Amino acid sequence: MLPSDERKREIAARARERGIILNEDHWKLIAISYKYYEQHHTICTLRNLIKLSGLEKKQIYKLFPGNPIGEISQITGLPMPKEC
Amino acid sequence: MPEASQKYTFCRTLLNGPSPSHVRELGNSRYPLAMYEQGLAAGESAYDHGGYINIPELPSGVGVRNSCRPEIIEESAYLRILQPAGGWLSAGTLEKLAACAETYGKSLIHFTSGGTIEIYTTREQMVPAVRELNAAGLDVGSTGNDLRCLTACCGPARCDAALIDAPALATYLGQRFIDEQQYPGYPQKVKSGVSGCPNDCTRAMMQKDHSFIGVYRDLPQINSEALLAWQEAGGDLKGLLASCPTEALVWTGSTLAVDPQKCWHCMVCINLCPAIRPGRERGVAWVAGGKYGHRGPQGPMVGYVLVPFIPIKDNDYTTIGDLFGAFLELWADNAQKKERVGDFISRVGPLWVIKELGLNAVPQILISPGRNGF
Repeated sequence: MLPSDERKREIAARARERGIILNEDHWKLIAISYKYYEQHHTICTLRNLIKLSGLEKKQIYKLFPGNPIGEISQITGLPMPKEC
Repeated sequence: MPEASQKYTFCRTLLNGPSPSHVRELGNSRYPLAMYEQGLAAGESAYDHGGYINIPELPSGVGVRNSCRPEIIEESAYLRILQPAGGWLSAGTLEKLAACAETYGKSLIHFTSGGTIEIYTTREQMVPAVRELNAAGLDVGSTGNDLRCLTACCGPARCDAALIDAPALATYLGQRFIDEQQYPGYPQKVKSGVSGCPNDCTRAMMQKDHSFIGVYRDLPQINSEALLAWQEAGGDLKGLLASCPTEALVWTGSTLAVDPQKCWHCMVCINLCPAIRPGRERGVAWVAGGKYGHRGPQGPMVGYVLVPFIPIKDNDYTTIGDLFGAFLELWADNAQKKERVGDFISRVGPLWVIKELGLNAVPQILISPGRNGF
């Protein structure tokens, strides 16, 4: 289930607190994470995120600096993958 | 050593003697010697586990050692710098590095056993320090679950035994896979090394997940005139014959010959006798899975020779880079959490890896590794 509008506002606010202003690419990665979560009950690893999004690793690090999967987990509140 | 540090009893004992003292170097810097002294007095290190630091601008190349003695220091953060292949630094670059360590760090530079350089600094100083390092032609990376700094022996730039240009290959791989060194994304760290010849001075086969060892495929070349001169100068022919691990050297009474079925193409006779030189058909052996670490089901391992000979022509390393990249992808896609390359190959089998990479399997190398693989 993709996030509702209210949930999206919460996510955007939490991202802003962490110094990230969400743009289209950010939302693309968040949507992929939600979709993956529906099936696997965690968000995906960075390698899977690269494959599912088609973005380069470097780009993903630019969008979510430091630890991209950790940031997505913090912002969305979805659990980290077991591999991390 | 500063006067104030005279109180450090244990450290002072390590200053005695003619050998260069690490305590002198630590004491001459702003390293907190009290931490070391506390560790020596207590019988265990005053430092705790290390970890990663989240610096948005630096996905890799930064880390921290936690402190068990927060009253002395709260933590010790460090920058890990990629060392140029071969381990050379010009005096000018070293001066810039020293200036950087002086300005942003603790006036201390650590040449690590893993082939990188570390500067101890603080979290706040890291980004400006990296900018200065970049201006000096250096860059950071090689921490976390990424491709670690590629190390190499000095190769033909300094060594007569070099069969391939090891620093050139390491630099090529380093440049091609720079993003993998600076953006973590693997299940576990991957260390890589390049050795110019089977002497393997960088211990790459045992220490690195991936090692590329310079090898020759034809037989060692024997110069009869030089051999005679060597014998006349006191060369020990019996010792030379006995040194061959496979007894491949045969003395006919007047000439020395090499049994092609027995020769392993190692470097023992070549190292002993200047009249024997390596063959001219040269390339690299690709060895994967070595590690010294005791973690993982297999413990310490020597690597698997996955491809015994990859020819190198005109310093074109594209084939090796393609193979290296393909293997990294295969491993990263199929490895379990925190599984090193050696444990992975051991679990799935070397033949599976070779088939997945689309290579021709040569099983006799795996079944009877003592035989001539060429």
